[in-house]
Amino acid sequence: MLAYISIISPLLPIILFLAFCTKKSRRELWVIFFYIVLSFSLDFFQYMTPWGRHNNFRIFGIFTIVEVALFTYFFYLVIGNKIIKRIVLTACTCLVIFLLILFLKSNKTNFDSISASVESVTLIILSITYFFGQLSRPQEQFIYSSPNFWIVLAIMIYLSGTFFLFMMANNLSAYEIQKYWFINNVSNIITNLIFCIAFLVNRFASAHPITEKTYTGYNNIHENPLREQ
Amino acid sequence: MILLQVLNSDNSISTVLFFGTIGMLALTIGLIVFISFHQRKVIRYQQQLQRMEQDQQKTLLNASIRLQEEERQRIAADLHDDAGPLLATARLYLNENFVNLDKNTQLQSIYNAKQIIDDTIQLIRNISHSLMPPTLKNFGLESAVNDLFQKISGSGSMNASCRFHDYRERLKAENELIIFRIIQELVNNILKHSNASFIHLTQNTSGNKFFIRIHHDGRGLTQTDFEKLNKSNVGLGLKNIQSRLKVLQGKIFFEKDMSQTYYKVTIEMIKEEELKPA
Repeated sequence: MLAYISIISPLLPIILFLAFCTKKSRRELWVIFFYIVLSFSLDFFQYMTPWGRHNNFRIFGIFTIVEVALFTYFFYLVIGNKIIKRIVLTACTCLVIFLLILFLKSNKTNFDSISASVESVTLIILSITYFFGQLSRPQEQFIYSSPNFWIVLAIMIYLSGTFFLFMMANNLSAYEIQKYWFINNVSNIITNLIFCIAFLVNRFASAHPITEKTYTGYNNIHENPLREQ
Repeated sequence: MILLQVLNSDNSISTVLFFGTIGMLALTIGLIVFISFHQRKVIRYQQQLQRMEQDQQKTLLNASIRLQEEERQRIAADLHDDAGPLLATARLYLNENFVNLDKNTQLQSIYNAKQIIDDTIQLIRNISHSLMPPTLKNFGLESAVNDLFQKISGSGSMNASCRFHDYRERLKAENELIIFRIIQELVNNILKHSNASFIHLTQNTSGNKFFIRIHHDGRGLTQTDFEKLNKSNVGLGLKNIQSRLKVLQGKIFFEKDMSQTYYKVTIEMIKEEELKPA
């Protein structure tokens, strides 16, 4: 039951994006939208078709590489510092090549823990970099009035929730994997819900940024300051 | 239930997996909460600073408007109380000619009217000079300040001297007027409140900075006193100095000399060519 909810959970952010965000969305939101559509399609294909069920780990391996590429592209777009942007681009290229080699060399019959762990660690580091970048920039808006904050939060929650599961998947039996796979399903559902918040924030909060009530001194600039004396 | 399952199972992998996942999630949520609260705190602090600056600007604006009003009232009073009666008297003398046809009396009243009109011209000239000193307009800041200090010395109450070390090129007329007004205000304060026996003003430049320093041996202000007065409702003149300096992007420092004998006021400005447009 939880697995089915997890599979269809990306539909909610997809619908919200199509309803609210298609007109004035920035490129980073389109990247995430594309990721959600891809994630939904692959999950659907993986669980609903016989070929998908037989080539479960092959699909998972490909998806990991695409996921890394899309998420690092997202971080490349949202990180403001030019030096960090360059580092992200170089590291992402190296990582994708590394994951590709790993995927081609693997027997594709087992879960590839190394790829998943490397992906998690890299993206968690990028998420922390994004957050600290936001802290060092003087801003008038609260961090949570930006859709990027929610997207990075979703990525972090998913990766930290599944980090130990993916890292230890090689050491778990098929029964244990099945037993603990609910961690992935729950993380996936939470992630998609947070993506929904991101799209809603993009639609509603960007038009009216969440700020502290600003001080305006005189309400009317023509007001005579001497009047109060 | 999951916790019970994990704790009851013998498999150490399950325990590691369970606590590892919980730990990672706790760390992530902790980090996010920390970042959100920290950013909130920083924004509030920035807004508080902004509010304080706006309050300060509001006080300065109040002071300059009040000062402008006082100046207008003074000019109005001068015109009403001095020029008005003088002109009315001259008119009376001239009217006398229509009534009294005696030649000598007529000449006498025309002469009296002329005297009164001369006095009125002098009065109006004085008012105009107090608005814009002609020495400043024609010969520049150095001459105007020299003139001011000579007048003070001439009165005999105080020994006043000034020296401009590096003033080969005149500043813009409006900037010279602002600096002159600041000096005038400071000197006025010294004359009124300090009980000093001498004032000495020096001007020099260093790098891209332009300095004016005033020393005196009376009772003076320190920077703390100045800041305190600037925030309070009193000290209108000081607020006026502050708002004039803001136009020049300048600073003012009040300090007591190392020897604890003199008070020193330093006005520091950026040279004109490097001033950013406000």
